Amino acid sequence: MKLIFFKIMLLVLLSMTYSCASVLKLSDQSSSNSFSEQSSTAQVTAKVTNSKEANIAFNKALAAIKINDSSAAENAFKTMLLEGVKSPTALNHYAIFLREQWRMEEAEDIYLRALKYSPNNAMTHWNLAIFYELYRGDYKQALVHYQAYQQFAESPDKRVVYWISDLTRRLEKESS
Amino acid sequence: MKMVCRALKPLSMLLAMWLVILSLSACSLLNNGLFADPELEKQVAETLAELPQARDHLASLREQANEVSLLQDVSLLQDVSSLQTVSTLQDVSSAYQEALQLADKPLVQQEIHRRLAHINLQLAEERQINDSLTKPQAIYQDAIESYLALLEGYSASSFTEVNTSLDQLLYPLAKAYEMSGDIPNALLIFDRLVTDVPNSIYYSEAQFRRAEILFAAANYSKASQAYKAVIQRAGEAPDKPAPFLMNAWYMAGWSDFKLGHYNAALKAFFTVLDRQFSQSKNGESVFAGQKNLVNDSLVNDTLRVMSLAFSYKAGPSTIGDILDQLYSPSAEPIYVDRLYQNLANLYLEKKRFIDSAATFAAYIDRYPTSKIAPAFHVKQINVYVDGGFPERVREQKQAYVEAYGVKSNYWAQMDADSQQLIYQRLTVYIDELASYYHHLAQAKQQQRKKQLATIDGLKKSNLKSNSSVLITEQEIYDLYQQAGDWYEVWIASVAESPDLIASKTITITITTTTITTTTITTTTTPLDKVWFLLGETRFESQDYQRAIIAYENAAYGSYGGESTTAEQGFQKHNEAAYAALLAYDQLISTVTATQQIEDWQAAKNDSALLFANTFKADPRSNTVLTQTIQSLLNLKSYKKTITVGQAFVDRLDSMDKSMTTQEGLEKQKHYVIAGLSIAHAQRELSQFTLAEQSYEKVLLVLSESADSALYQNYYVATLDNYAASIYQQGVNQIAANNNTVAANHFMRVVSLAPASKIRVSAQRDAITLFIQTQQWQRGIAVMSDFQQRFANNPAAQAIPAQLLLAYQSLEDWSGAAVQAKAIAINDPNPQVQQQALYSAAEFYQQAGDIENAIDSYRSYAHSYTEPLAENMEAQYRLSELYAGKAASDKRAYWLRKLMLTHKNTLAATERSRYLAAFAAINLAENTLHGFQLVSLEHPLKKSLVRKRKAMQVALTAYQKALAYDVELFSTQATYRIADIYARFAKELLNSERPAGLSALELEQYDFLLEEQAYPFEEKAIDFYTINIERSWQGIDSEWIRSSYQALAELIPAKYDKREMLPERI
Repeated sequence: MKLIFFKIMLLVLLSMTYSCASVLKLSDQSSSNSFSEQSSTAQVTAKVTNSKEANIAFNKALAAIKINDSSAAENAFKTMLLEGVKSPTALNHYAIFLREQWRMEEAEDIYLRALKYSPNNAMTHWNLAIFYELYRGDYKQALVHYQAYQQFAESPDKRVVYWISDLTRRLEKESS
Repeated sequence: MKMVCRALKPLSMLLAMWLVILSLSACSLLNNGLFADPELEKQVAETLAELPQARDHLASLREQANEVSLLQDVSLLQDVSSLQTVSTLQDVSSAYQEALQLADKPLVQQEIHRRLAHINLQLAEERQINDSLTKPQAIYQDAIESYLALLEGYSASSFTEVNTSLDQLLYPLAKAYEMSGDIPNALLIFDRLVTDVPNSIYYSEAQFRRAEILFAAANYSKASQAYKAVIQRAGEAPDKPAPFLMNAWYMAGWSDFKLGHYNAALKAFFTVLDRQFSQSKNGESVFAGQKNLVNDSLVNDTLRVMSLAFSYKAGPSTIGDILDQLYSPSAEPIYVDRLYQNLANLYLEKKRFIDSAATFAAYIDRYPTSKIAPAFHVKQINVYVDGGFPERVREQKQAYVEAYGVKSNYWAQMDADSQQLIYQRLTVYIDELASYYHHLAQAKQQQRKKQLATIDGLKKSNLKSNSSVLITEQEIYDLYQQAGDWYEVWIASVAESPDLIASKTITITITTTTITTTTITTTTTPLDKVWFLLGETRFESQDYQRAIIAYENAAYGSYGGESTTAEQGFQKHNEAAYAALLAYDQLISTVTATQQIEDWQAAKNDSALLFANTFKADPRSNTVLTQTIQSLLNLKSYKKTITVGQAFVDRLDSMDKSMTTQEGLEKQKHYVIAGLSIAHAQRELSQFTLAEQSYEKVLLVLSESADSALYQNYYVATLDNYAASIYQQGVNQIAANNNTVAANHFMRVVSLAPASKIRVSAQRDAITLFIQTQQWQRGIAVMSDFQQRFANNPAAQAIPAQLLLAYQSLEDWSGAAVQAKAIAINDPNPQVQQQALYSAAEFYQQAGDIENAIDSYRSYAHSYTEPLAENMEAQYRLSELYAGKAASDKRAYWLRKLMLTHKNTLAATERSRYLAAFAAINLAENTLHGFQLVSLEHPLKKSLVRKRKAMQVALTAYQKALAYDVELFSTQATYRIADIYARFAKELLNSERPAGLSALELEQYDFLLEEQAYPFEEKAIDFYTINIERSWQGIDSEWIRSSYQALAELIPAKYDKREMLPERI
């Protein structure tokens, strides 16, 4: 009970913070083109959606993840979806959250949703390629999205070239 | 003339005396046995018995007749009246003597002689009165000679001239002879008179005197002729006075009677009576002549001799025959009843009771509608009474009731006075008849009892009975029935004639004869008493319905609570009322149909209430009321039970119910029973609150003396009912869904009536409600109390389970564990025991009581191998608990046990496989620690052997776990295997290098190590990859994730690929 109470209080405090301070807004488009292993440190300032509530929900989700409150994060992400979020950033966060929960099918769905709204988003293709390769064993799809990444990234990644090669070889080995 | 009359008067008296003497002489002759015929002598002897009366009235008649004759004498001697100056007969005689001497004419002389003869006769008569010493012959000598002298010189012509006829000489001469006692000469002279002077004015008298002389001489034939000559002469001149006629008829009858000519005699007597009676125009019987003693005597004597005549003939039938001969039916004489009565009286005097009664019966038969018939019936009955014929008495009393009862035709035709007269007899006779049969029945009843006692005694002595025939019950019943019937007739009579009830003296004139006044005073048997007696007889004859009616009529028919005049003879109204109740009881005991029983019981209750209300002072009224209240209750008349019972209780409240007196004890008993009945009725009417209060009142009374019999008899049951009433209130509250209130009522039973039978149920139900309403704390207290008090009660067996539930609900795991353990030990059902033991283990575990938990699980695991699942769960729990206690050996034991159990079972399940896998993996984890403890150190060869051995042990253990193919543990085992390989490879590469190696040697050495390590690393990658591929199937576990991590380290180019994300906040 005490734990639940504490979490509720925290969320209340967070929400107060959001409402009082200038709310972190995500870009409408994936503004970062220099994705790299450090991309995770990129500033996220773009507005995700026109919906203020979606933005709030997204920020709540991120805050919950930070304190390992999966349940709150889950709720916030769902709220975000209901508010019609289309931001690939937000959706990629959500997909990764789900993958970390080992909810692979849901994660795939969110990735594909992100692609639907932003089919050329390199980040999404990057993430989806790794998702298919490591967590689904679907090398074909992984290959497709690695290739797409190379296509939509501001600059193709050398590692990806190797990975494509490796996957191609493995696919060929499987097919043979 | 007056002087002559005065002189003649003594003479006439003497004449009367003479006549009497004559009669006596005749009687003396008769009495001296002069009659040759014995029958005739007998009749005469009987007649003589009548003579005193006959003599008296005959003397009277003759006196009257003599007065007439003396008057004639006076006329005869009218000439002497001229001698008024003569003061005495002697002076007159002297005067005539002197005149004779002076008379010279023969006719004068003759007349003087005649007058002197008369004077001599008168003087003689006078002298006879005064001179008792001189003989009559001497006294009358002169007179006789005088008349004889006159007769000698008598010639018709000479006497004709002086208007003197022969009869005027013969008559005095005959008289003189008769007075002188010379009866033969007197008779001769009378004979001459009637023969020679048949037209004489003295003819009838002369004949009469002849008849008298002849009758006195027992010459009844001639006497009869002479009497009849008198009668004949009177008949020839009916307009003339016939002073001797009545006597002639009377004596003619007697003469014929003496001659044995009874019919002729009776006809004569009827004539006498007819002349004595005549019918008045209004129908009443009156005397034709002057009513006086003489006539009464004549009538009575006539009737008397007629009775004799009838008795010599055929008795009462002769009366009828003669009447038929002499009279038409419509003209029968009014004195007929006296004929019968006199005849009956005659018989009665002779102790001929049957004949006497038959005479009365003959009259009744002939004149059934006669006004006097009931009186004759009474006389007939009385004759039988006198004669000692009780059967006939009873028969005739019955006949009387039938003939003249209030429902008879006779009764309807009678006037009020006659009815009153009959009614008085009716009530007496009916009462007597009823009493007779009643007493007879009682006597027979007693006799039967004695007979039965005798028989019983003989049976006990093994002796045979030789006594008379046993009186049957039916015989007794019949007698009681008859008695009852008569009582009913009595009552019906009273009902028909309510105005005749009162005692009354009645005078009713029926005839001019002896039955002129009849006075009967009614018996004063009260109606209520007869009703009571009727009830008694009906009861004894087992006719209980009619007994009840009778008793109730006796009790309440006229009784209004105080004695009235009409009831003064009966003071048992309360007894009658009570007897009715007893009769009800008997009646009820004889019927079998339930409805009938209830109907009669209801009727009895009404009667009982009437009894109690009417006879409040009766000592039985309280008992009756008590019984009635109980009965009302039994009949389910609950409202009435309450009403009556409450009134009774109120009444008793005002009484002393102290236990110190017997009366007080009784009243207290009534109070208790009535109170209980009220309470029971209230319960039946679902008035449980009121019932509780009523029972409580009774309990208070009972508790005043706990050592009394009343207490002993009623307290426990009352307490039970008291508790039941409270209990039922709880039940009602349950029906109204007020379970909390219901539980309170049940607990009131526990607290107020802890010793009641229903206390256990109440407490048990309270427990149930406490559970339902989740009043766990109260429930636990009550359950614990129940468990403690009623350990042997079957319901107590459920208490541990209920307590378990309560403790569970309160999350009091210790309490729950104790109860579960208790169930495991005490419950008779082995299955329950088994389950409870497992639960106890769980609760102990939840309570943190590890020792008891282990103890329970261990006990379970050892005791119950089936079902497999629970057994293995217990083993699993034990392994976990021992793990918690770091008791690795014990834990390992149970882990191995788990694996073994799964291995040995033929009913393996997913769970058993899982647990076996769990055991295997945990056992494998133990081996991992051993593997990890062995380090590769110089000399590598030795340590490598140990390490490989430890590795092999661990790998084998994990392989076992892997073999169960339980996903969770397979990923773990796979990871561990991979990790063992990876560690081995890593440790091999990192193992201590031998000292003293050159750089080349060291390089070669390293190469060799890598070469040795590489296969293990590859194996590690293979096993990690297995887990990765498992994840692709949707499997997730920490071991898979760890496998990803391990692979990322081993093959970073392939597996250390990371999603890109904008920086998180």
